[in-house]
Amino acid sequence: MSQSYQAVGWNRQKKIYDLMILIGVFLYIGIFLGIGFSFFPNATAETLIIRAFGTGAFVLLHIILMIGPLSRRFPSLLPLLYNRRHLGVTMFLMALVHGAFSILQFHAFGDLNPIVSVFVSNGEYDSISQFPFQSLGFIALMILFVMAATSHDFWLANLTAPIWKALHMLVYVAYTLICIHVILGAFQTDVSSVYHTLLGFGVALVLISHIIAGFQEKTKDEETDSEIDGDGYKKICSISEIPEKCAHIATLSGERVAVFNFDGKIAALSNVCQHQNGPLGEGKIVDGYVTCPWHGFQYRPEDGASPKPFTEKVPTFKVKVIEDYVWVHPTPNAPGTHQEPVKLEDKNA
Amino acid sequence: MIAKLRRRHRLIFPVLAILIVVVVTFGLKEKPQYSNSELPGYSNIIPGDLVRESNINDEWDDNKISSVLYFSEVGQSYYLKFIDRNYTNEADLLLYLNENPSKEISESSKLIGKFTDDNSVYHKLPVTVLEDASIILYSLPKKRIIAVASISKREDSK
Repeated sequence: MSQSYQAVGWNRQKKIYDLMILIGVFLYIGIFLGIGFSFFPNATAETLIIRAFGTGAFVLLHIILMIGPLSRRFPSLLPLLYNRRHLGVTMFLMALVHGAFSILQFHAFGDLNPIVSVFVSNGEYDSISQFPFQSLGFIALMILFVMAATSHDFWLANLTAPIWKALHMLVYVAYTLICIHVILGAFQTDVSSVYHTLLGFGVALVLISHIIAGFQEKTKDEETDSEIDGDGYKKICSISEIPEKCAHIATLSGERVAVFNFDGKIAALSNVCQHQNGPLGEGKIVDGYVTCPWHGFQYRPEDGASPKPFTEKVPTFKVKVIEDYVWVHPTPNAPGTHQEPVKLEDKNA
Repeated sequence: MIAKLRRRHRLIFPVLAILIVVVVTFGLKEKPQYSNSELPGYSNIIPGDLVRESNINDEWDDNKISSVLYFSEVGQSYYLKFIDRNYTNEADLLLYLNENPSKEISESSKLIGKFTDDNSVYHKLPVTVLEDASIILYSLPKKRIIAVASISKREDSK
């Protein structure tokens, strides 16, 4: 992927994905408004729009937050991860409609600047039941705006994946603020306990799935106390543990390394894709290239470089095979450094 | 580099879980106990015999509210309709009726229902005779009286 700017690289999968998002959003909003006007004929259109887009964005945020941990556990859900950023931008736009209509309806017709009014019209910051919950929603909306604005690969490439990911971890802050916004806002009125149950269910799913995924990843991050030879190589696994064109993932010096077995050869690369830090070792070798399971970015196993015109490079590692066991040196080569894969007929090399 | 982010993720979620559980617990515990489900509500059925009684505009102590009082001979009931849409900035307003001139809500005040300025809605007043009464507009979230209309003797006008 070049760092030069380019608009969305549309392909068939992205078009289908986005079409599904649009259909889902239109169906949700349509059904919500239809039921709303039928059961609450006295409700104003603005009120129903605020509620439809607010609840829609909140539901979508739950789906987005569930995709990560669920796709790690169920690889069949990986296609959902492929274009997750478009879901995120859609969610931000829905939240924006909710926020804009709310500010218009409740703050736009006074003497104060409407945004200032959001923060000062209710000064009961020391109260729980009367807390000015709209201010929390506004801050969350600003975080979602920053994330939506920097969601493009242009920003990902220029900020670098670790900084970009750290920035986008702010979604967890936004999610917490929105939960509190709902609990101290809508839930302080006489809403049905059905909504309490739904919120509890959604929050529990998000929190539990992330906590479980976090601890599963912790186990993978723990370095095995395996043998180290005189040259500093560490014993990783037996060749039979690595399926053809797939990888065995090991942790060396605190970072993960993917050891691939392909075409009678063994090569080791950093497990971290340069695009979005996806797990290369959970991908496969396709057409001779290590292919990231998240977005299909590819790297040559020999030198960790993407095929031209792409410029991504990942570190390679020195490998040797002794008596059917793979040994990897924990010091990474510079990204893109050629490291000849070990041919299995030359083992003990 | 990515391992550091994973460690941060592992740390964030237990903290978020505790924070959200605490907020939910306190949020629901401190939730005001509304009795909306027991409110008389309001009627948008217009009685066929409804007769316009009078405008009640100047009677509201801030003169910003326009309302009309109707009387139904068949139902022997009064109905109040609000027509001033500029007053809806206040959320969750309730209407109370005092069968005396008092401008405060007391044990004897009668809850009429939720306030709405929807033109199709007629708030039914739970009395058959309206004399020296007051109608109070009360903000539930702010827990204060927003406006009061004093209504003098009406039975003679029927």
